[in-house]
Amino acid sequence: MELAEILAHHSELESYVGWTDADAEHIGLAASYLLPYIPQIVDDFYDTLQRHPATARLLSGGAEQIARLRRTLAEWLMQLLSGSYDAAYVARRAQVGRRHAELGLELIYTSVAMGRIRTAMTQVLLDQWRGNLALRGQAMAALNRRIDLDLAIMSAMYEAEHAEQEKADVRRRLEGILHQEKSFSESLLAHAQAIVLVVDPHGRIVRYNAYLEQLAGRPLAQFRGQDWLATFIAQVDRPRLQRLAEHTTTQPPGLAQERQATAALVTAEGRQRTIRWVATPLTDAQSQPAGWLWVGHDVTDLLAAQEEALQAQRLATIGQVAAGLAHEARNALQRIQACAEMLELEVADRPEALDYVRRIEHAQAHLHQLFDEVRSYAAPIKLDRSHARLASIWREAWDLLAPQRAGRDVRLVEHDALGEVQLAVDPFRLMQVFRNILENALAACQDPVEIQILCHPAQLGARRAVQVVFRDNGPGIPPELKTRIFEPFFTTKSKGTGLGMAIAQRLVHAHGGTIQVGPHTPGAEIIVTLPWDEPP
Amino acid sequence: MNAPLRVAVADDERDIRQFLVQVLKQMGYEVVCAAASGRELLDKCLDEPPDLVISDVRMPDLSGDEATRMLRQLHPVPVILITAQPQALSALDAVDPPLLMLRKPIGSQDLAWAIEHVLCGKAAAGQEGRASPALRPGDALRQAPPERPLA
Repeated sequence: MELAEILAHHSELESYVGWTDADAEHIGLAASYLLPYIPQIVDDFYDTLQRHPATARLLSGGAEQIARLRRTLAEWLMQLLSGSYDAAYVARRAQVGRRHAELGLELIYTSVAMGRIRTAMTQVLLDQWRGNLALRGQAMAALNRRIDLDLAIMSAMYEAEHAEQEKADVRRRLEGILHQEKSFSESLLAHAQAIVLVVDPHGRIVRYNAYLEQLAGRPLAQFRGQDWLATFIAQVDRPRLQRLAEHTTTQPPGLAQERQATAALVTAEGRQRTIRWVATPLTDAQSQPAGWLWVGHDVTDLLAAQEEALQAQRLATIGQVAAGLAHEARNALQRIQACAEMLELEVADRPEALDYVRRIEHAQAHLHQLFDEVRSYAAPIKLDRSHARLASIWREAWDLLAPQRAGRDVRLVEHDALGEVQLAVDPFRLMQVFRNILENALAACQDPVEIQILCHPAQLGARRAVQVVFRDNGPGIPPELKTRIFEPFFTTKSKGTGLGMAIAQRLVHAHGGTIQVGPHTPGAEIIVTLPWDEPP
Repeated sequence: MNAPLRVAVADDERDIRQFLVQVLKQMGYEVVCAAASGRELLDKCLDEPPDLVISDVRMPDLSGDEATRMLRQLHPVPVILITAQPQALSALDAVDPPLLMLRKPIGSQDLAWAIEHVLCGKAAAGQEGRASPALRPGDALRQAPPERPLA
């Protein structure tokens, strides 16, 4: 309650009780009788307060507090008798009411206390008044009116303050509940294994949770206010999410699927994670658009597992088909072989015919190889690990390619810092890998061929690894084919089965390693990375 | 001068039978029997066992592995089995008398190599002498355990 309001209230009350300037004068008359009795009235007042349990609890501050309160009451009484009831006076009365409310002193005690002071003063005037008794009556009436006015101001202030306090209580309780809710949602945000991102209507980052900070390696403090698509999303996927965001604001809320899209998140290290995003438009208290809430689930591992399962299924199918074909096909191959060899004897004296027979035999051999490779590609791989030197393995692969190297100008250059290191691998399988890589290099390069092998330490995620790098001086691998060369039945050679590198990849994966096309040019670069530590 | 080695062959495919006979004769062996089934092989070899049997596995009425198993219960004859089914390349190997599995298709060189190995007592499952991409010695051995070991 403001002072102006209290003063207005006071004026209104004065007119209500019929207060006049004469009343102030009459109180001045009474004051000369009453002032000497102030100490006695104060003593009586506090004795009573201390005797009564409900009020005694307010005087827990000891003698010092009581001494201070006595002074205050004495001053209060002197003000009451001063005959001057200006704004400062009213303000002081109001202050008492406020103080009582703060202390939690019930209003009834103020009324009773006022009654007690009124009685004490009346008694003094009855006992001590000398002279005009009519004047005494007017003085007593004026005093009563003033005390009533004081009580009214104190009560009004008390009630106003009390109401304020109750409001403050409610506010505190609500704030408590809000705080609880807030800390609950904060902890939900902090621990959720999902991306939670809030952006403003312009797509600028308002906030995101710790999960996204960790996943993307981008602290919120650094990226708040930035465009979220440019910060997190692969360029190619940005228009899709943009369209989705617009769709959610223009269309009525529909099925969750309509608010979903999959897009790649690019981490600070440049890795990509596949995220399934759900967009929810946000509105402010006035129902105006306030941006979007994006919730994202990392489905990278899920998709990889699905892909792996699909691949396993594909291999099993190929395996079944290969097995189903094997018997009849091999019998047919055997007949071709038998007949070709017999024919070869028949036409031994006819070089031209002999050449045709040889071509049939080559075709048969190629078909035979295709069968073996399909079978090898689709068959489950069980590694037979032993400790082996990498250099010995690639040298053995190189030796096996002697027929392919015959008559050609070919050089193998080894730069092996680690070639002599022993690795727990399946030497035969790894030899197949190296042989397939070397065979491709021989097929792709024109003489003089130079193939370099580099072997050095590397990392495979968090694991220690060894990298074997094969570089040739051939035409190289076009960028668009860099991943395709590992697809089954993909070949650039006129004679290949297209399974060589697919088999190599399966074998390297079985070792827990990776195989990829390296960036080195000119020529082709194939990098095989194998874990150095013991397999689990 | 030693008498030529007496060889019995069995295959239900006429072309292959003919091929085996021709190749063996050219190598200087005497082909004592060219059977079209396992039963025919048994009929012809039980009384007068050859020095070596070369047989297809899957044949009508009696399979090559069954026929040679029965034969070997009476006579210790070295055997070369030729099969199209890799899973049949199981641990049928035996050293005494030797038994060797070959996977189709085979040529005359493969046959020469196999006969040499069997006769020198170096029999083992697999085809080490053949350059066969993506196939390793004992590969088939790991895929399926033998249902009925012969030896």
